Amino acid sequence: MKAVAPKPSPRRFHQASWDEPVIFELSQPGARGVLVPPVEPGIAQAVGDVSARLPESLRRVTPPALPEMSQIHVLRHYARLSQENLGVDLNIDIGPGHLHHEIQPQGQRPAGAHRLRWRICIPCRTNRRCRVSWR
Amino acid sequence: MSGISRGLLNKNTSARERLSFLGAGCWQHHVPAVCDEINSRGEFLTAYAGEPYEDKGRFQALFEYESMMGELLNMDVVNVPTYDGFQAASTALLMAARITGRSEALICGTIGGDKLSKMCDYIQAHLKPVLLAYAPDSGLLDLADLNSKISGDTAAVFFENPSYLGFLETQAAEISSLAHEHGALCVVYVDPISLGVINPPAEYGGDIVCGDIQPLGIHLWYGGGHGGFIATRDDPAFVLEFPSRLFGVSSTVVEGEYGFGDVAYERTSFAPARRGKEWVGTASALWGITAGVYLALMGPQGMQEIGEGLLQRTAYAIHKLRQVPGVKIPFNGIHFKDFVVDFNEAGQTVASIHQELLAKGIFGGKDLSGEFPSLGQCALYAVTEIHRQADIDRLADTLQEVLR
Repeated sequence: MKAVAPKPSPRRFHQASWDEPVIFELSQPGARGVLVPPVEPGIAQAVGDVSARLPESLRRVTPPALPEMSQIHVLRHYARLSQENLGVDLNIDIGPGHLHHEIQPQGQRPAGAHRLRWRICIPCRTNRRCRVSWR
Repeated sequence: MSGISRGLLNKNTSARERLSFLGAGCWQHHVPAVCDEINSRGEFLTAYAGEPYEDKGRFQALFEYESMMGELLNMDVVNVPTYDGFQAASTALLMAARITGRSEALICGTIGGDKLSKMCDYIQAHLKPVLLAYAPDSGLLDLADLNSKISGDTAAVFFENPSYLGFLETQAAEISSLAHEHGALCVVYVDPISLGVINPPAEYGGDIVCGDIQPLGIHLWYGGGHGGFIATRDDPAFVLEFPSRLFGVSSTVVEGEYGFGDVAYERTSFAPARRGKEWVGTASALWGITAGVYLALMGPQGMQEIGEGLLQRTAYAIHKLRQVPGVKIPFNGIHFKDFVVDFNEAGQTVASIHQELLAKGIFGGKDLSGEFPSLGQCALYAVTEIHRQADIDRLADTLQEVLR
């Protein structure tokens, strides 16, 4: 009887474990990730403070209790979480093709395409470096 | 192959190459670089059906997305995104049907045609959709019509704030009270980027809140950048009617460690499908992660500032276009991003005006003449934070030239 080839030994892979806090625990009062530019003086002069003219029932009084973080801390938090994830790029996930995965050529970027001004439909839920996309 | 597809794509003109005033549910907002950086990472981008043991990062990121959306919406429970806002609105109505056991949905008459069509397809087996009249000068919901149509069969009253046509529904509290007096639920569709400055529906009687996360750090992607959210209070009667996945946080066997996983999994069609509430699939989790990144970058201050700036830019665009001879702005009141521009007195169709704008490098708004025939030659224009004063002035000047 032919000998059965020995089973290859499993890889000595170990996933990153960052012990990453929940994002709200990373909040630092006053920290900003993105600064929003104010409107130009010409706009402000012409229309004034529009939010002050909102009816009371529609004006938000208490700001949403979102975390306050600098950009680098947001980036690191999510980059670490991504390392605690296994995608098809790194290993076998259950059957790509099992549902509707599709292969898409790289380098095509319909990011700026509005659906009302686009003649040819390229269904894409992902972005420029996309290889496999969700449908 | 690459050359062929590039050739096909190059037939199109992107909104980045022109000055675009298209919105109508899909807006050209600024996307912070970190949003693209995170959703391009292969670990997230190509993740599919993993479980908490090897996809802890995705479960945590989506738990955080739900939690931040909960803060924005002042609600306790938010789902992992559905396909898009249309789907979220449809499911929110079916949840209302299951919770109340009733058979009719009253829907604001200014809703967009695409959304209404999708909602009707989805709900018609369980709910009869009935459109409500609106005031011609403001677009606001006609309360007398609502009063005459609401009954013991009404499962939900559905309206949008801001509306599809851009104006704010200032009678929101009255509408929700009327719904509750008749034992119906109040379902509100919102634009999440407005909620740093505009009160979330939970504060004026909204029972189920839904919408689309595209404005939160997601490009246009030819209509592919959408994800839907549904939010309710922490009431089992509501929570157990979500068909979507809900991720929660828990302790683990390791002291001080967090674990993340599904809550009330048996509701979903991943458990025995015949007992599932509707259906759940892989949907748009990547966009949920992205919207979470966006909210963390913006913080409370950023969301407030962007909301204020959007209100001001919209008011400025309305102010400028009102001065163009032949142009009217039919609906008064405060608008958020979108607003209707009336060309009925210009002596030209929207289609021909937009053709001329296109020749001058401008995408006009969405032609409403087919969608709202009663408005005649009107179009839906939109501005966002990417529009500078000079861009809005250029639109007004160009329209003046075209209509001369």
